[in-house]
Amino acid sequence: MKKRIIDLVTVLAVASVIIAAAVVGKKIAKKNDLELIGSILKPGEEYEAVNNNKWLILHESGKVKDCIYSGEGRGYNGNVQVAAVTDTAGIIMSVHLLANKETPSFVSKIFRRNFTDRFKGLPASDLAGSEVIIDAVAGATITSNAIKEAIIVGYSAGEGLKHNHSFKINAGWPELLVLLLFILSVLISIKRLRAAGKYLQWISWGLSVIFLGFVLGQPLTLPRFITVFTGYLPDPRSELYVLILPVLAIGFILISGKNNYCMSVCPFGAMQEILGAVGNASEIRLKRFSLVKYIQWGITLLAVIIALIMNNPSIAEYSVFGAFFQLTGATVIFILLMLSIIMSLFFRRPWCRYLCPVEGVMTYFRTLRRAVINIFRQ
Amino acid sequence: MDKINRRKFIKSAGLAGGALSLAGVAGAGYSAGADKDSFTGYGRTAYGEDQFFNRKPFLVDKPTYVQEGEPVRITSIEDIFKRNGELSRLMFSRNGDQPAWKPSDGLDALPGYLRAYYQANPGAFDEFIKAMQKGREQRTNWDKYRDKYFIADAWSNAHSSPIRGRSSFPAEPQGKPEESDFRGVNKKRLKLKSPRHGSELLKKICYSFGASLAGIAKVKKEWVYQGSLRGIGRVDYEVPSHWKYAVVIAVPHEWDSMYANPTYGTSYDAYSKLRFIAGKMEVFIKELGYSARPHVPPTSYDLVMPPLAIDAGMGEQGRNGILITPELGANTRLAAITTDMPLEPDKPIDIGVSKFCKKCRICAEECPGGAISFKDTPGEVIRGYRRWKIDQNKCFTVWNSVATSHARGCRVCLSVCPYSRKNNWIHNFAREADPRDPTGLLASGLLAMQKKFFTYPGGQEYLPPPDGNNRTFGEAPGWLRTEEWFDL
Amino acid sequence: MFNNSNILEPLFWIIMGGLYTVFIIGLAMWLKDMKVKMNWWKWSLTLLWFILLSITVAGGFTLIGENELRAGLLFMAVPGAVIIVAGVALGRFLLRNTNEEKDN
Ligand code: SF4
Ligand code: SF4
Repeated sequence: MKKRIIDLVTVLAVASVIIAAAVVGKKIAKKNDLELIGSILKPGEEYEAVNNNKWLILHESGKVKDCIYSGEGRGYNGNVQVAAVTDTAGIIMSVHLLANKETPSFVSKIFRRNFTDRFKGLPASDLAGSEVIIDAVAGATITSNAIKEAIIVGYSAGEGLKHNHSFKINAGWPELLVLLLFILSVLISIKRLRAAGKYLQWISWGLSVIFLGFVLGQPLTLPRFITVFTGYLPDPRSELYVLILPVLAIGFILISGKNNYCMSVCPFGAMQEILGAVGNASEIRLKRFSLVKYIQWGITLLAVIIALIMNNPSIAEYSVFGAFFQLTGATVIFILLMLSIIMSLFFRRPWCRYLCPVEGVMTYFRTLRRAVINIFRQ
Repeated sequence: MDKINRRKFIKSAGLAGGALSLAGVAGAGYSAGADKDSFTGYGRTAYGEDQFFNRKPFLVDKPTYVQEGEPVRITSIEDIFKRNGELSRLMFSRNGDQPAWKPSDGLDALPGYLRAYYQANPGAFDEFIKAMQKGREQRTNWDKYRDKYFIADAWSNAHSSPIRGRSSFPAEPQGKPEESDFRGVNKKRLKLKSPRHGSELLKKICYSFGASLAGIAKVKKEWVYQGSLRGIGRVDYEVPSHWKYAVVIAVPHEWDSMYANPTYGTSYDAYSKLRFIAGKMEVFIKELGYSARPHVPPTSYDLVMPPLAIDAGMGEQGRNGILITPELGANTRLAAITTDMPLEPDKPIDIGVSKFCKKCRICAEECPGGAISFKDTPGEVIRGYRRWKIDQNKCFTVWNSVATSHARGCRVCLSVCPYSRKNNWIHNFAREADPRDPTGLLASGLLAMQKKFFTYPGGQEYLPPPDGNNRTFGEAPGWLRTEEWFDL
Repeated sequence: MFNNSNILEPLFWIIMGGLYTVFIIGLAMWLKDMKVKMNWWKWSLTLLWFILLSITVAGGFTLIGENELRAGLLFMAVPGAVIIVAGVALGRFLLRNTNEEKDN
């Protein structure tokens, strides 16, 4: 009786805090386009809007000097708004970043690494024709593509052209892999399969570490949940599996109450299991286990709130996944990673137990499920 | 009892020994990394045997550059310094006269040889105007940065002092090459044992004068400039028959300052060094009784250096257009002496630079001006050779933009290149192992480490605010930092 | 270690040689006392592991000496993690039979 009420109150309280943070975040004013466009003009230059996506830069004589096109592209964690300056013949002369909700490190990497130089001298119309292949900056592929997309969108909309979004969903082996991993996770949990289940479990962990981890490098992280929650979906054409992953993970926990993602799909979880097997890791029971858990969940909640208020999901990223699978991240994260790796040799899943933000999200949905079921029971 | 104690003692000593030996290798590693003498080209003696890479396993018959179509000699106007020189002569009056030409006259009003270049290279003229504009900003901003780069600027000016003016060494050739290259040649000649002896001797002498690398190449006519000849001026000419061989020499920039490019480094340290070596070589060869003509930086060349050096087996060409040698990486500066002394040319080498550059692209990402091509493979055929295109006009704009007292260069593409590394065990492992690995896996691994582990600020960061933050690639050495020696 | 000294540098390596000797003798005693049966390939594996560890440490510190702190730390962390894991695996492998004996 009492537990039921606690469940319900927790679920509602957390939900309302998150929603409040999201509302506050949205309220924080967005710079308007004109201001943004003004920022790329040289002092003394006059401009004139043609439509929402096209501006003209004028000579003193009133003759058109150059054009500006601005558009948005979908990055990994948010939109990037980009302006392309072209001459009157539509040749791209420069590319500027106007607004950015994408992971800042990806974007700054791209701009500092002269990525936008690759567009210079190309006719904007050719780009829209997608004949031109622009190499992405290593380690920031989606963002690179988002910038290209933004230029195309801006140009097509500015010129009133129909931009064929070519909504061909590109499902390939990554999507199949994710499905396979979830199917395996179900098979493994079937009791009658005991011995075979154990083999399947190891196969599944191996696949996950190698392919979901090292090859694809994008396991579920906190920003992903936040972006999905705020309604931002990454471009399904480029990386469909990053969408399938949270949907299936949450779906499973809501239906069965079992956290299949953490148990057998997550590549870092799998890695900890493998390390644990190497070092013959043991279970540890902390005396103050529940207190530690509350701290873990509290940090996760705090990160979510901050990200929502700042309107930038990617700042909620504090997991070690990027550091482990892609060698990117701050030094602190690397220290955390080293600790987790060494600890995993001796204790089972230290990262999952005490630090992981995803585990908190999963627990939230499990509690939600329990609370709802209890309401119906009554 | 006694025995047990001894056992215990040895056991704990063993543990301590293991830990101490680890600390020992850490210390040995640290000092190997910090050692200034492990900068190649700055060994303890001019001969420093250990500074040379063993080229024997990598000698090839044909150089690694790719010829496509008929080679064409480069016209001197294609060289940015000659071009800018001509243009400024037209645009700025010397003694109060009206300038002969101003941009509003239009490109059509330019003399033919200049017009041809700007018509063939659209955008080049705008870039020149931009560079001039940036140059003005650079001079205005210098006040802000003068104190910070006080020593660096003084150091650079000291290095450039032997280059400026009439009395520079070596003296510019006067008159026809047939006369000037033979001026002062010793009438007495001894019989050389063999061309091979000639090559060996000249290289030894180069080292004794302070060259880090020396090589011998046969002069190919396509490496000789067309359209102007030092000592004569603007002229179309056939390659003189006595320019048979070239002794090519290379020295690096002082390494610590080179890593702190663009603002702390200078080009003139290597330039002045090269001029001294090449000038003395001219005298030496003439004393032996043969003709000699030095070709020295910054602009006193009748031949294009990098391909000549590739022919001489010193290295290969990188994406950044610079000669990359196994010892110095991209930190190479070149000069040459053409002569008719009978010599045996060196063989070119293949250490896999051209393959590595296809994957690497670091210099393109780090170039503040976006002057280096990003293309997967060398994308353009230039004068009969397939190569990556360097936009010299954009590069020159960077020289005029970075926080220095005047346009004295950038050289970031030298510093960032993974080949420009010290002569210590860890880099030597890469140096020796990579060209021997036919799979290219090691190269990919090393490159991944290079990109993930090392800090690369990104091209824009080297520019002054508002575009960047005046970053340097490496940290400036203490002796170049004003704040360590002067009260500010 | 003492790059420019003709006396300290050889001395340093002599001492290092001594340390290695003491380490190996001590290790042999440890293993004997723990009832680990060693043979030539177990010894080579163990020493290979130690050499790899030493190279990683030396490499990391070389990069630190070159003023590349981040590169040096990462150079030690990434292969270092692999080496630590391999070390634990090797340790368990060597101690495998001794534990069984205890159990019996
Ligand atoms: S010197 Fe500087 S501007 Fe020129 S190509 Fe190299 S990096 Fe680019
Ligand atoms: S930085 Fe990379 S791409 Fe550029 S020259 Fe050096 S190796 Fe080649």
